[in-house]
Amino acid sequence: MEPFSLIRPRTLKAARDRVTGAADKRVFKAGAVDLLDLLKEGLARPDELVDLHSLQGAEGEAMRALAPAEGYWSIGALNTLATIAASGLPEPYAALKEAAGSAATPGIRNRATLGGNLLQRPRCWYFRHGDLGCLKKGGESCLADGGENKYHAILGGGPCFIVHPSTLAVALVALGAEVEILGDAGARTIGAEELFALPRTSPLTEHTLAAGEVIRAVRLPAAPASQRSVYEVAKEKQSFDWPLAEVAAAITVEGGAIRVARIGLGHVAPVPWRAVQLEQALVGQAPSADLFARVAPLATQGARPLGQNAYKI
Amino acid sequence: GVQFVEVLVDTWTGVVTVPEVLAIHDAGRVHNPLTCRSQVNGGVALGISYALTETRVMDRGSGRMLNANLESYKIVGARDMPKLDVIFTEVHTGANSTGAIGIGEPATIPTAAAIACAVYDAVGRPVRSLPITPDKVLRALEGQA
Repeated sequence: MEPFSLIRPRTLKAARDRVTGAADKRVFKAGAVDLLDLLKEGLARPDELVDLHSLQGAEGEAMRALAPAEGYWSIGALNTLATIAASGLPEPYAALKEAAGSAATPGIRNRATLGGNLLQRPRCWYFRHGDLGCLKKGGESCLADGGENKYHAILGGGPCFIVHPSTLAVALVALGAEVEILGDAGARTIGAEELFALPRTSPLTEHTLAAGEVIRAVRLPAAPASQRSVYEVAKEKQSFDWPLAEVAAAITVEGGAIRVARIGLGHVAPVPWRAVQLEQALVGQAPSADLFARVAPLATQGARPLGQNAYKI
Repeated sequence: GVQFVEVLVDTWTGVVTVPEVLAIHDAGRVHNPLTCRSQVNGGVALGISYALTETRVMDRGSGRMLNANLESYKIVGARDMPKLDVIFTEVHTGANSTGAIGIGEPATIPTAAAIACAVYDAVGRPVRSLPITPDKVLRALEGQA
């Protein structure tokens, strides 16, 4: 690990001024969970870590708050997974609490932040190997394609086949969340799905933030009281393992029929994946086990397995 | 020694978990019950890992090990451990002056085999390679090799 300095700015302007234009030599730091992994593997070699925890005043508060506002709930990007899992978020948003409570380990959840979780880099073992030059690191080709790809993408992959590692992103996509971003032009708000980029657009990065931009908070839109959401995951090992596949679903039933259905799939694609065809097949139908069994295969329609990951389908 | 295991196979995901294990070992005269029992705890834990999660992944293109860390080389953790009962049948053979017999390796020898047999019992088809990971279980459930 290279030596670095820790800068603790009090204002967002100071933090952004420090990082913008410095390319990879100065990076933002929140929980530093993924950052530490990247530093230890030599995948990131910054001279400075610019701490976001030291931000004060209204700016800092906005990044730490977890409270209802007008028409939505606001979750500051610095909230830890543990805080979110134990929070008073109401029933319609249960999927996010379940997702936050299931990721990683209790120790990591106490430290890892919402913002960091969304922006973490992939776990692909070719990407994470200091000696191997894969496509995402500027190399010629994806080493998982034709290599060891048991944990890689079955949907949306190519030319790189990583799966996005964020569990919270899957729940946020199912809940129709929006992301508040602070940049040069002030604040802008985008849908959660727009935060992520497919490899066919930009194989070198996983997200769409411009250099120096910071996630301030995530908004969960107002949901009808009858909305229910849930998160499920399959893991090879039940203690501290990454998902093989995960799903978050938010459903609203009115008058005996499904009025709204949003379904996010995780660890199957380079971005959190909306199962759009499945959603469309559910809307307007009366919920039943038969319906679900019949339409479930739509979730993986169009999936293209690699050599070792057909089981994910 | 002999070990009995109960496994739970999720037929939708192929995930195998081990809720209960009974380990019965003859280690002669047990001099320190705490450490002797602890050896069996560890043997069963790593036996479960051997059966279900441990594998060395080599990249054929570069000859490099891809999971040379505890993140991807999977050893069971607290949430994977079964309810484990350990019984020592102290058979004093008089074959040596202390009456002790080893427990080191025997603690872990039967575990993976018992798990593989239990999975066969649950699924109806054998999975003949370790680790018995969800992808292999799903293929067995679908009737493929």
